[in-house]
Amino acid sequence: MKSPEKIDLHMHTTVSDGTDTPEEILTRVKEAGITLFAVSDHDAVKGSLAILRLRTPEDPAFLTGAEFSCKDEEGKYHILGYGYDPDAKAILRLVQTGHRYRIRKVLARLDFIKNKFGFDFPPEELDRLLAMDNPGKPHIANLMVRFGYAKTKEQAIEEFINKIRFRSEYIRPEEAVEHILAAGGIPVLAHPTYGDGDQLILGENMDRRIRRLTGFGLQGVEAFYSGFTKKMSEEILGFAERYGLYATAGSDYHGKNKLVVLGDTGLGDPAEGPACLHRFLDAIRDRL
Amino acid sequence: MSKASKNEPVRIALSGRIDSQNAPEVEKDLLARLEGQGVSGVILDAAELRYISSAGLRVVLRLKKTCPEVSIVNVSSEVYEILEITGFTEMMTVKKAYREVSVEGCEEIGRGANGTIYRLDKDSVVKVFHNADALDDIQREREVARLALILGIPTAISFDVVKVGDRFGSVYELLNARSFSGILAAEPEKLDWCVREYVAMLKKIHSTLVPPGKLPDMRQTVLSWAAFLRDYLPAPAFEKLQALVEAVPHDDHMIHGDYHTKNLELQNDEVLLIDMDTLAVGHPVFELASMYNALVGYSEFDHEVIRRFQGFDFETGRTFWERSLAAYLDTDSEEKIRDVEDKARIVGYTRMIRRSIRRQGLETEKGRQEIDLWKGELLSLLEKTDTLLFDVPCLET
Repeated sequence: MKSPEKIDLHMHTTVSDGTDTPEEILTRVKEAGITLFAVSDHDAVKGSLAILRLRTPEDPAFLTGAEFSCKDEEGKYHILGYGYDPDAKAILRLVQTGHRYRIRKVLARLDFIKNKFGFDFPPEELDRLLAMDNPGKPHIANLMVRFGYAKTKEQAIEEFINKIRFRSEYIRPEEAVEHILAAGGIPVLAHPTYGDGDQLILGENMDRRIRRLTGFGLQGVEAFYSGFTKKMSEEILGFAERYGLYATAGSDYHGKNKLVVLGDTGLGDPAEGPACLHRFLDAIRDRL
Repeated sequence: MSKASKNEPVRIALSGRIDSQNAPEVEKDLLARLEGQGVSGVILDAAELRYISSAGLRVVLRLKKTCPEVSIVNVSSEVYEILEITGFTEMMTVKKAYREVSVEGCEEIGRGANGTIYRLDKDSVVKVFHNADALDDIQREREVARLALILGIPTAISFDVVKVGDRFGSVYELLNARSFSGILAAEPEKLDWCVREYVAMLKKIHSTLVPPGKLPDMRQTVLSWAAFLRDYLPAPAFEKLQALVEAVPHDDHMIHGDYHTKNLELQNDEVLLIDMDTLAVGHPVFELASMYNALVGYSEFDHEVIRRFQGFDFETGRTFWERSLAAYLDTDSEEKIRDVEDKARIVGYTRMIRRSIRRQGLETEKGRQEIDLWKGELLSLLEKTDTLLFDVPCLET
């Protein structure tokens, strides 16, 4: 692989909660001038598998990816897995575990809105929902709107679905890290400053998190991210240096669902990027 | 939201909470409001914003990416802190909301060129700036006061900026403090003690070296005062005045610039210097000039001026000035004292004449008489003076 000119290693397709199909995303990646990319659907490798089938040798360099939602006593994390062998049992087991937990959560929610509010759906709709790769709150909400139980998706989530709080099962971070490693992949902490999405973790707290995950075998941090200020990136790069971790760059593009621009990572020209990014690019050279 | 015409920033109010639940809605709303307006900038007004989560921060960040001129105003201290640690304050203008205070019924404890100082409560005072757009001045005074403190000058540093009606104010902690003017007015027997402390502080200021470029050069200011008198003095006198000021060498020692007895406070047993916005570097003759004006000059024509301003009478002011000058010069020699006083008066009259003319002094009978008095003194001093320089004892040691 020659040095990439533009990198985006974090994007979602219709396999999870993005709005672009794998085909569409491949087209958009090319349009955006991205020369190295990864598809990182939630708890799924199917998006990456689809790209592997679709791409031709002329297409931008591609790295397999996935983003696993994890939780333990210390908090919630999104852990990215990059460059794994898509046929490895370890990664498939991890995806299955994630999927199982997800299905149980969906069932618990469906139960709740049926018992509490009397919202019922035809069996074929429920079958379709449960057969999805990545069903979740938005999909239940869409169904509710379609059947007239709520006016909008947002209302469905806020006023009904979110009214249930239950202990859900999660993949533990060490479990994710171990399985990604076992599949020959590189485990990377996604958008560290934002935790699992809407947190703000800085300074000492961030240090403690990264130190802990590094103990489990974490190898990288997403230091360049569309939602980061320069100062946030600099802080994460500081941790990468301190703990000898790789740095990666991703936009977290979701298509129409969120207003993130594909390729917007804050990295700029990778050639000018820091050493921890270059170490990552060296490490993935034979996994592309 | 108020719709703006092209090239004028659009002001958008944020309110309540912005978190992961409503951030997408807020964002869509923002973009819809901006669409097709061809705006040059956006001002987000956070006066009603109670909470912003990281999802909200990302909305602001994306807005900044689509519209480079984004600023946030009226930010609460809590939100400001978040914006600061996350680096938002480095990428866009973020202005804090100001606490509103009222000075109604508060004791006025000082009135300077730039502002009036009121006692807010027993622990704090507020300096309300005359200039409605004083935020830059306030920021500058804070920096200057911090510099002075670092250089070893005991002073109060403002810890808060507040809104007082339509003006801005700087709040200082000043516990049980009394100004030297207040002490002199109430307890005239303490005059000698006041002189001693006043001169000790003066020497401390004048022996403080300031790193180059940190403070304005008083000589430049005085040159501009002198230049103003071109049309009001006979040409030879004007040229001599200018030559005298020009001959004063550059000096990197600190001067306060408005060193009178209201700007020295006794707090418990400590003497504090306040009103630091006039801090400069330069030769002590410039300082002595402003001291002479405050203690004597402004009241030479109308002796009631000093009572209104300092609270004590003309004789007290005159005595305080003479004893302070003698102590400062460390001399009993009447001749030496008069000589230095004359040099200070040259600069002092220059300033007072300019000030009075700029304040329409020539348009009243009283103003004209006062200016004539000062002008007469200045002309006779210029005739007999060949230099503004003198030996400054505190700088020799």
